[in-house]
Amino acid sequence: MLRLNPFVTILVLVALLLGACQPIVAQPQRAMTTPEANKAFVLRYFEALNQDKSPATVDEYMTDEVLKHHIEIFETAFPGYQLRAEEMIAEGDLVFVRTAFEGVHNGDLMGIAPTGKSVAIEIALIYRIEDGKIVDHWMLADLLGVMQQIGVVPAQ
Amino acid sequence: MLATMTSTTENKAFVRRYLDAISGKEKPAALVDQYIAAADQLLKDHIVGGEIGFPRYELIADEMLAEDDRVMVRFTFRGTHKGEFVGISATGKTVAVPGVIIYRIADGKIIDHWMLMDNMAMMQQLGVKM
Repeated sequence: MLRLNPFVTILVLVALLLGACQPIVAQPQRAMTTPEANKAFVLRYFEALNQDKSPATVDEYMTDEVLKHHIEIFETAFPGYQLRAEEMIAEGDLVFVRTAFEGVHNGDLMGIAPTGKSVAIEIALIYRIEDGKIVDHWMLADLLGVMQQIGVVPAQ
Repeated sequence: MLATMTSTTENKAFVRRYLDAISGKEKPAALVDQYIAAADQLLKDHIVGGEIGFPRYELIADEMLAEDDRVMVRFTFRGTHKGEFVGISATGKTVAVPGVIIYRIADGKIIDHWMLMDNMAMMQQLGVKM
């Protein structure tokens, strides 16, 4: 067992109490991070992204650098692409979004030259939201669907 | 609110029991019918199709989120391709493919679902030339 002298114990207690005060001070902000608020946040984010995908807009909604890179790749290949939330399931700080993606292949897609073909696929997204920003995500996009619709892979 | 919390917890526990019952095992209709209602014949058909292609395939839950009557499962599908699957003859290859499924649950059974699997990864792991 670690033994502390009384003075140190008091210092530790004061530090703990001060620490304990912080969440109370920060509560108005914290209280926003409910599943319902997180779902509303995702809808606002989709709406903003459908308007423009400028770094300013993207930075307003996320700190997740990998996600920013994904958006760049999709925006290069499908300029002005649109996302629509078909269904959401939220729990804790996570929001799952069954997402409809629509875009026109007017730019380079990881080495595939533009075909001008319209693409409509489903994407499964899970966002982790902290302090009003996406801090992490998991994504599954129907890339086989993309390849079939732009005619690179024959449809089954 | 409390009722909602209880049902989401129960629904997640139900999905865990369901996955335990079918994952890595044979999936006879009598077993599947204990967990899936007649309303979701499509899911039963998927299981039959999956089982022909990948006998005793596994569904491993990597993450679960629940709300109201729905449970989302982020999973890994694991199996060995020993039978015909979506028109592709057995390759003997073992695959591990990520996917997402949403189950809608009523009266202790799955009544509807939505599913997305990484079909690109599936085709690549089966060695299908594209």
